[in-house]
Amino acid sequence: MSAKTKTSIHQTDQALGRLAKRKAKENRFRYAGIAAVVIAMAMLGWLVVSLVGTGYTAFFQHYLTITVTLNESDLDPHGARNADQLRKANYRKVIQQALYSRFPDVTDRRGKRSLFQVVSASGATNQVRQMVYQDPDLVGREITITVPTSDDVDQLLKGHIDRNAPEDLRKVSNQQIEWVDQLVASGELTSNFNWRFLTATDSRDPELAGIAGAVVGSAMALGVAFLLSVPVGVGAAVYLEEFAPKNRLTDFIEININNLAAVPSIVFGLLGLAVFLNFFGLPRSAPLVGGMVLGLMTLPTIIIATRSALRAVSPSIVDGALSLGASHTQAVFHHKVPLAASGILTGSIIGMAQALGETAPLLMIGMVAFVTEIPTSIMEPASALPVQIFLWSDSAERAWAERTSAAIIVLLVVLLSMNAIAIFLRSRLERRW
Amino acid sequence: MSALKTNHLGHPRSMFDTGKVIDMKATTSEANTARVKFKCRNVEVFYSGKRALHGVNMDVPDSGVTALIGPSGCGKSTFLRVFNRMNDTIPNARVAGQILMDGQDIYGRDVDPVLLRARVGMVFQKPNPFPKSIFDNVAYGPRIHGLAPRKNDLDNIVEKSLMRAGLWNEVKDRLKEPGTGLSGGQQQRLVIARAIAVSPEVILMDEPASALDPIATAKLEELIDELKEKYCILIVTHSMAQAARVSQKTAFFHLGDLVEYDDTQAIFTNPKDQRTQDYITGRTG
Amino acid sequence: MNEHIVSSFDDVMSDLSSELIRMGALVREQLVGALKALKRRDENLAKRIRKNDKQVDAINDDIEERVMSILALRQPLAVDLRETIAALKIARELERIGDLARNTAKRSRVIIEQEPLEGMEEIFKMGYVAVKIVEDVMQAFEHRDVEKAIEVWNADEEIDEYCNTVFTQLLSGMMIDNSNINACSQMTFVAKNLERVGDHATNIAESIHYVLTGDKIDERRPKGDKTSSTTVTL
Repeated sequence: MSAKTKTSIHQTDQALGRLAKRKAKENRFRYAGIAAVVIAMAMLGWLVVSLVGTGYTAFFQHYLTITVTLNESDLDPHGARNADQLRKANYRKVIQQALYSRFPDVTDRRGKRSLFQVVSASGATNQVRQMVYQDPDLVGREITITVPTSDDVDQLLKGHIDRNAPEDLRKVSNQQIEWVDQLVASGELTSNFNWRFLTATDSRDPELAGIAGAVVGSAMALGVAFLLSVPVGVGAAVYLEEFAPKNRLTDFIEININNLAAVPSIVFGLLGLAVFLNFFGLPRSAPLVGGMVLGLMTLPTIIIATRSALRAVSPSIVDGALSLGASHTQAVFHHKVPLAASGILTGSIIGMAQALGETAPLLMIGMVAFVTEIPTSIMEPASALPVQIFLWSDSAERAWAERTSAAIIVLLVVLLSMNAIAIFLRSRLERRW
Repeated sequence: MSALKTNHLGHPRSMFDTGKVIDMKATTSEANTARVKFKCRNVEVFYSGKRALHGVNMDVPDSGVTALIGPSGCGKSTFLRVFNRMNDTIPNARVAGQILMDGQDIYGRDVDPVLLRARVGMVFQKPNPFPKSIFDNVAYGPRIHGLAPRKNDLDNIVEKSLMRAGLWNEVKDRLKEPGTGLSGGQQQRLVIARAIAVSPEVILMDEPASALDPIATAKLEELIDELKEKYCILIVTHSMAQAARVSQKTAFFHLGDLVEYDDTQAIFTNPKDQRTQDYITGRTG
Repeated sequence: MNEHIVSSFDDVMSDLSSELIRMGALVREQLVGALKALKRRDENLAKRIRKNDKQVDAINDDIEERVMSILALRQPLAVDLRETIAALKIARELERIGDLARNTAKRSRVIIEQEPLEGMEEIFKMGYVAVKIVEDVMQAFEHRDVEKAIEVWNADEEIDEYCNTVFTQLLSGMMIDNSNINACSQMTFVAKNLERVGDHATNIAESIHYVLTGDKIDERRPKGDKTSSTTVTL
């Protein structure tokens, strides 16, 4: 390059060096970003894999198909077929006898007891009782039923109990393993989809436990929370944002709403305990109270989300309406709220999803009770899905572990669907201007 | 030397010999101000106690276009918003003084700003059609004021307004489509149609062409020219050329003062005040 | 006057003024030259004056072009607009004065061919007044001097008075000796030319007044030219 040619300072070697440095810096930032995303995805993946890995087996359960004889002499000696008698009858004996006749060579008491432990004692007896109670004509007949095996047998067959461990360290005896293997070989013991997990309520026996009660309880509480927090929250937000005078009082209220959103959820539980249970005397463990507490907890989230959605609406739209002679209220409800609707809905659904996953406040108001009935009204005692998970995770038996994971999977699926609904509604309602 | 009766061109000199100067300008401006729409007396506007407008006295004529010009922050937009009480919507804004519209104080106790705004329409800087259909945009005003009891009436109002805004031919086949899908110039004319639909007497325009390209601006100016026959129009503009093209009267604002208010031609050829002169000719004041 | 925010606008406007001032100086030269040629009976000078008028026309074209470009590119308003339009008008007036100088030079050829006339001092006095007026009006322009412009505007009366005197003299001259008719009749045209120079200078003064004040000078201008109605009775 001759001395006369004018070189731009941006074309010198130093400049090119600086450019390379700058690019390297940008690349480092990009790689750091990618690394962060990869780590986050890996964590999430790990969580999902471990949950599904532990939990999926809970959706299958081993069942024993067995023929039982419903002797009239055992069940209804007077032949009255009276409901009370049929309910009280000894169905345990029916199952035991069916098992003993299946394995006639078991004669000693210990062997018999051990044999009976193969099936779920209360599961099998309740099942037969239910059948007879509903159809008394079955008495005196011989029927084939499919009953759940005991959780130990189930765990053994799922491979969660090590066959090779010394017998005294294992919950299943060598003899029981032998019987089970025989039954499996003959096709009497099979693995089926565990509908009971989705339709039954909580139980002391893991093989009988289901999440239906908790799901219904959660749904009821959530319904109450939604009905309470969305209208009140949206109303409060619209009022505060659009109509309230701007003064120290409203500033104070605004600060407190923001603070409220940061209050730990257990504090709301204490509030519910003090106000709803002790002061108003509402029933303990009821979804009504749970919903009210969750609703209160969600209220600040919804108010904040609604206010920011309202604030995001272009003021020029409101100006346009006002300049046409719309009143302030008309401008707000004809234009501002509809335009903010997608944001309000998203905020509400995310608030609801948060409430769905909340455990602590429900513990405080007693929704931690052991409930074996699916609640039919919001005043009845009920459990909730996250509380159920909390309770199961605390139990010792190996079978609870897989059920805990399975319940978490169900909870996550519900949460994901709620978020999906939020996304869908947002894209449907969102309008551009 | 007796022939003093003619001037050097040989014309009779009678007109000048009378000694009377006939001021043509004075007569025309007298005709313009024959009917006053707004009589502003000592109008002041305060934002949070800070005075943004310092005692403006101005008579806005009933017909024609009055332009408000001045540098940013001079109070012209603030003044414009006085006429439809849009300042009421700004917290901590206060208006003092008297603005008489056809003799009635529009800040009087008996005047509802909602009804005032039906009489005094407004068009904003950024086209702001509602995110609704073209039809619903224009129909919104008549609906909230109950001007069209039957669907048929509403159709008529919408068609008439769009026609008057020079938009009908462009949108008549797509009234159901969103107003936000139109081009900027069309949106601005849609907004004017929306304002016209309420049958206002006055249309305020706050820099209506600042977001438009020259062609759309020309169409808008043509529209303003047509509308001035029927409506009293006040327009705030940053473009002096635009003020010169569309208005008959021009008011120059500077630092919250109304510096000069005169016929547009006088303002742009021979402003009386040095500040006006400097602003118009692009000088450092 | 404050400066424009866009300084190149100032440059363009001051260039336009300088060009006008240059044109004014050239036109004055032409006028002086034409008078000199007449007085000294210098045919070559007269010829040169006639030729030089092309330069005046060229400057006029140049100014027209500048004005056009200012109007198109700068959209001048208020004082700028008045100044631009005035420049166009002043250039036109100067160009006319230039034409009158050329015409005077042309007539001086015929006059030089004739016998010299006696008692022509008045017309040269008149000529110097005309030159002075052109000088003054261009000074008023250069210094943006309203007072001076008004002075020039009033001074036109003086020329008109001279014109009346000269006209009467020439008429008498022709009546006394009709061999003078050729020269005298040309001389009347020269006198008329000088009187027109005064009118054009007055127009320039009016333009200057309008630029500086935005107002027209009162229309009732004193008019001293009575030649159109002058008769000599013997």
